[in-house]
Amino acid sequence: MSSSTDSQSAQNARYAQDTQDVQDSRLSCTLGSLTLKNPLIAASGTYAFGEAYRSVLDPGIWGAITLKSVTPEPRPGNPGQRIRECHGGLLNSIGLANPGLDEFEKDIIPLLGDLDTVVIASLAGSVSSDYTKLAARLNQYAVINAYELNLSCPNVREGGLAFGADPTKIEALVGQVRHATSKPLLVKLTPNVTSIADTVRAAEAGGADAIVMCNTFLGMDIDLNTGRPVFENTYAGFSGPPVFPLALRCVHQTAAATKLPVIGMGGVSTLEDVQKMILAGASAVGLGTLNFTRPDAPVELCAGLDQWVANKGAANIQDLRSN
Amino acid sequence: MLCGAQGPKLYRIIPESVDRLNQRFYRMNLILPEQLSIHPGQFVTLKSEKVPVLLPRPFCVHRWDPQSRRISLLIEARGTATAMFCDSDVARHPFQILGPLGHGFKVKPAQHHFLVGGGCGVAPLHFLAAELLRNAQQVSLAAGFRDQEDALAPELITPPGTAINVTCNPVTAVDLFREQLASLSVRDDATVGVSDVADDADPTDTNGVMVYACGPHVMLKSLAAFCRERGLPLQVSLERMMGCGMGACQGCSCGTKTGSVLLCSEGPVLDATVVNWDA
Repeated sequence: MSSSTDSQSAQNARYAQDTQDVQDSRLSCTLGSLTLKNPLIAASGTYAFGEAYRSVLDPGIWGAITLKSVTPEPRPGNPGQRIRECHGGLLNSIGLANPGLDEFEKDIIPLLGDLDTVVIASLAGSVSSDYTKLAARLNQYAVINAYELNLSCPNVREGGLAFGADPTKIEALVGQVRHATSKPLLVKLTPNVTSIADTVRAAEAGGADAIVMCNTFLGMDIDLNTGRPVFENTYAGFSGPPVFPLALRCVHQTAAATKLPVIGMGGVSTLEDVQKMILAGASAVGLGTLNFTRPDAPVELCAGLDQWVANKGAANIQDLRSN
Repeated sequence: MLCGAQGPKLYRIIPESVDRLNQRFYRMNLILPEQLSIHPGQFVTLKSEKVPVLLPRPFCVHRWDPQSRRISLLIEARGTATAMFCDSDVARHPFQILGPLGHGFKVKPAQHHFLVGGGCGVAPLHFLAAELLRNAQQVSLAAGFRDQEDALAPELITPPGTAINVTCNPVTAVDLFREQLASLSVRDDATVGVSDVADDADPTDTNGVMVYACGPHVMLKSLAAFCRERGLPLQVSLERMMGCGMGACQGCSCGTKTGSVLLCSEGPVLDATVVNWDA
C-alpha cells in the first residue's frame, strides 16, 4: 500500500516536473544576455524587494522580479496622501521611498538569493552620477542579474522624468552607466513625451540592452471639498487597467523604433492583455498594479500563456511576437 | 505554485452569510479553509470580481472563532464597493480575502481596559473585548455613532460581560469614556482610581488602565490629547487608503514622531504617543 502510494506520488512529481519543463521551454525568453523562464516580470515599485507576497505566491514563478528603485541616499517618500483610486485606475505619488544604498546592501541583498528567479535592481537618482555610483557599487553582487535604469519616475521634483524626457540626456546617462557595468541594462522610459521613438533610440544609442515601456502616465485629481489637488506634488502617476490601450500603443511604437528587446507594461490585467503586448512586439511583459489587486495572477497567466503557445502550434512564445 | 510560507493567506470564498444589522451596517461571515493565527486589531482585504472597483478594501477583523474558522467583518455601506459587497447577489459569488494583515493591539494584563470606538471603528473592538474577557479582564466600551439610526445595538458591538455606553456622536464617545473613567475613580478602590493613574503618569504602566481606540481621526486626536494629559496608555487603530495591504506599494504612510510608517505592515495599531496628530 505504502509503496504503491509512493510510486504514485513519485509519478505525480515527475509528471508535474515534466509539465513544468515543457511550460518553461515554451515560455522562456531572452532579453539580451538574460534568459527568463517565462515573460512575466514583476514591475518595480509594486513588489517591494521581492519578499512582500511570499506567503501568497512563490516568487520563483516569475520570469523576473524588478526590485523597488533604490537611490544612493535614503528617501522617506512624499508626504500627504500617496495613492488614490480614480476612474478604475490608480494614481500614486510615492516619491521613490527607499532605504538608500547602504541599507539596501546590508539588509536587502542577502535576502535576494532565495527568490529563485532573475533579479533586476532598479536604479534611480537626481543626477547622472547617482546612477553610475549605484551601478558601480552593486556590480559585485552576482545575485543582481541586471539593472533597470528608472529614468521616468513622475513623482520626484528632481531627476527621473527630467532625464527621461530629453533624448540627449538619456543617451549620455545610459552611456555613462554602460561604461560602469557589464550587467544587462534595461532602460525604463516614460510615456509622457511627444516622440516615443526619439527617447527609445537615444537609450539604444547609449548602450541599453532592452527598453522597458512604460512607466506611469502623468495624471492628477482634485479634492472637491478643498478645491485643491489631492497630491502635494499636484501631479501623480496613473496606472491600472484604464491605461492599457495607451501603453499598448507606446509598446508598439517602441518595437517599431528599435531592434532591442522590449518589456511591455502598463495596465496589464488579463491573459488577453499579456497576449496583446506580445503581439505588439514585447519580448516580456511587466505586471504592476495587478500585484495589488490579484497577487496570485501569475499562476493563471503562465498556464494561459502556455496553452496559447500550444494552441498556436508554436515551439516558443517568442515565435508569436510581432517584429 | 501557491506558497506555504508564513504570513497572510489568499483565499477565494463565498460568504457564509451577510447579515443586515441596521440601515447602514452589515456583518459578513466567511468560513476560512484553514486555522490561522489572528489577533485583535489585524485586518483583511476583500475584493469581488462582481464589484467594479480596482483595489481590495481593508476591514478590521470584527470577530474570529478559531474553532469554526468563522471570520466576521463589520461593513459600513458608505461607498460603491462597501454597498455592493453587502448586496445579496454579489455575496453569492466568491470574494478574494487576503489576511490576516498588519499588527494588532498589544494586549497586556491591566486592572481595567477601556475601549473607545467611533462608527465603523467599533469593528475590531468586539474581537478585542472577547479576547480580554476570555482572560478574565475588566472591560468597558464607549461607542459613538453618527445618529440614532446608525447606532448598533450593544450586543452587536461587544460580547456579554462588557460595560458599554453608546452615544450618537463619535466625538462624544470620548466624553463617554471620560465618564466611565470617572465612575471608576469614585469607586472605593484606590488601586484603580484615576487619580492614581494620572499621578503616576507612566504610559508604559499596564497595571492600571489600558485604552484602545478605533474611529474617525478627530475622535482619535481628541482622545489622544486627553490620554496624554492624564498619562494613560493609548493604542489607536488608524485608517489610510491602502493599495496592497502588504507593504509593497507604500501608499499608506502615516507620519510619526520618528518618521513615516506604513500602516498596513507596521500598523494599523500604533501607540498614540508616536503619532504625529497634526500631519
